[in-house]
Amino acid sequence: MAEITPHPAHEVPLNRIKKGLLKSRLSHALILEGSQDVRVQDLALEMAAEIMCHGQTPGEKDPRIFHLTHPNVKVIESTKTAISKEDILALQHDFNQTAIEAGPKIYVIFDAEKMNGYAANALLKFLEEPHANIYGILVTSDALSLLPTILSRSQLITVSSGSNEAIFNQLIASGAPRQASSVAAALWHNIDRAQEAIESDEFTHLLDHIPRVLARDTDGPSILKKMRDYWPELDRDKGAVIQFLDVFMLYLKDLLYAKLKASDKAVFCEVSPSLEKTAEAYDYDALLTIWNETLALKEKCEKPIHLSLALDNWALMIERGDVI
Amino acid sequence: MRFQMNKDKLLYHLVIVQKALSNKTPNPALTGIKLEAFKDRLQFTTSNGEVSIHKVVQDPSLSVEAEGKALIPGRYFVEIIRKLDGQNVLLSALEDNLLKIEADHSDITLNLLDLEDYPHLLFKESAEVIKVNVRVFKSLVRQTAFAASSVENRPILTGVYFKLEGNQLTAVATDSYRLAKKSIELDQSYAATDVIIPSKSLEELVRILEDNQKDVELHFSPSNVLFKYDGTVFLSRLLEGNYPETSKLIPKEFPTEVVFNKEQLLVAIERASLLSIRDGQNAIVKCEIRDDDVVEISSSSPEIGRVLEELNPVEGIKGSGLKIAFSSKFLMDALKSFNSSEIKVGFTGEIRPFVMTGEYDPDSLQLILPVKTD
Repeated sequence: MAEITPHPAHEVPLNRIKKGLLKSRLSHALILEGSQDVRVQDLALEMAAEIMCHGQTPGEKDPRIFHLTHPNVKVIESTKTAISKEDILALQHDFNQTAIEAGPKIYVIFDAEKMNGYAANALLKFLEEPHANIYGILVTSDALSLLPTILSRSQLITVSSGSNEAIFNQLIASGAPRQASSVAAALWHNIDRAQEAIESDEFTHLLDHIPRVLARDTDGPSILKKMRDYWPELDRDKGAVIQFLDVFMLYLKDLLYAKLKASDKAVFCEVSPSLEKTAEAYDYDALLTIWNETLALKEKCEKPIHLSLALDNWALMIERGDVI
Repeated sequence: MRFQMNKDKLLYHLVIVQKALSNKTPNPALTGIKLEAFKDRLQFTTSNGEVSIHKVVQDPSLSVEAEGKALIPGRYFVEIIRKLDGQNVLLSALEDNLLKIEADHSDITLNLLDLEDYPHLLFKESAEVIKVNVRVFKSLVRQTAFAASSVENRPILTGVYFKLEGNQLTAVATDSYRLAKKSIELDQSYAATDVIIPSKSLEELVRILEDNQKDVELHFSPSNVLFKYDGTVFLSRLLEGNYPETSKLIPKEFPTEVVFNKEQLLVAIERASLLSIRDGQNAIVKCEIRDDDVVEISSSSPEIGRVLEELNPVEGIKGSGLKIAFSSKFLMDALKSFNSSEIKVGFTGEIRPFVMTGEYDPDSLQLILPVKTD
């Protein structure tokens, strides 16, 4: 790998790392979310170099980190279709031993979303018992595709060539609908991915459907029926369910904003009146419980479960008022 | 870099250092032998990321014309030197990262690896040097390391725990189903310290130690352990974490004690394991200590048949009879570790660990957990 020329989008995240190091408050696990256009893999190596050579000038950074040959920096590259449990165990085997050279030990996982369930769970065990002086940097284009339990134990750093607002403006300028642009920009922080989603019918239907799920209609269909009408059992695959849950959680966040009288932060900007009406129908704790249950369902999706049954069960639980 | 040296002597040192070369590594630099030429000596370094070997060579046949250093593709280099004709070999570093090897009528050019990518290994000796006779140290490793775990479920158990206390150096290894422990007495007392060395590193080390009366030097530090033997320095990383407290697991009193002839017991167990329900590594054999001073070793498989071996212990059985079952592999491994021809086995119960000791193996014991059978 060639020497790295800094990308303008790297400055803010690198400063965060430097501050964390100065205050000795750097998280032992970092998730770098971003796309190829901001060279997020290069940023991960720059961060590794920053951690390894803390306090030195940029010129003194060890070139072996960028050549992927530093003995204390282990990199899992994304050359394979999936990252397996064996890859993670090999990493852990190495990190259970003292460092070859003085200094911290760092692991970098490129394309962390390629970790299969076994690999993610093996990594989770490692994250649950953080060792002193071991840092992990997970690089992904989509943090929401990682296990929620990995997300909750890591510091998420989103790297984008522009802010969500800039992506939103770009999408609007390209003629995309306002609602879809707002949600896609908030969900992916990446113009290419957002554009791709907006162009799919599935995403457009999802945006129509989601505000209806929690809407309280006295004589209307149940949540279970709404879900089944919208989504026949046969069409429910893992990727689609996870995308549904991601957008649903954005909507839940908007309901919580509405409760806090901060609807201006909502990404479902075009359904503002109905959003506030729905928010009134639930109390704050109920929304938080739905949030937690949705997060738990998303985690279950990574395991070999019957997706339709799990989704029905989730809908029934909200319907029966277990969480309300 | 340019030097000339006797080919056989160069090969002798290369064969030693190549033991730490890496076969499969994401870092190509670790497939290389780092060679440094100084006016009066050569220095070789190899590393596979787990263990590293460093050797300083001073030889009357060595003549260094120009100092320098290079990272040479290890396997090719050793094989080339091995197959060369002629008494002496001339090595010179060329431009464009090339190495020229000349001997007799041969002229070979080898592409060098990038030295910049090589780890910065520090072969630092500690202030306190522990000297142990090489044979004694080899037996310390040979009698313990095999009992370390080979699976990574509990990484700490893949190592051998070395504890230095006064003039006693104790090694302990366990995979949680068996335990091996041996202590040796040192010539002098040292400050108390302990380290956990990966058993695989120790296996590599033992391969370069010869059977002679020389000493091997042990240098313990918090980040690594360094062994120095006959001009070769061997560096190993350590396992991080706390080793479990094992002393309480070893019973002190034995209601039943039997002294076996080692060879007789070994052969009987080998035969019995042939027809065990479980195959190979997991074969289970049963042992019945009868009140008439006979020990029955048996195993049976409903589909294949049954083996029954009767053994007469060397001495009369002390204590009451019992029936116990255990892994034949564990027992054979433990028996083979002893130098003694007679082995005393102390039993504490049918489902409790039993301990083996040998008359000519002082401060050495093997403990095995039995298995439950119907």
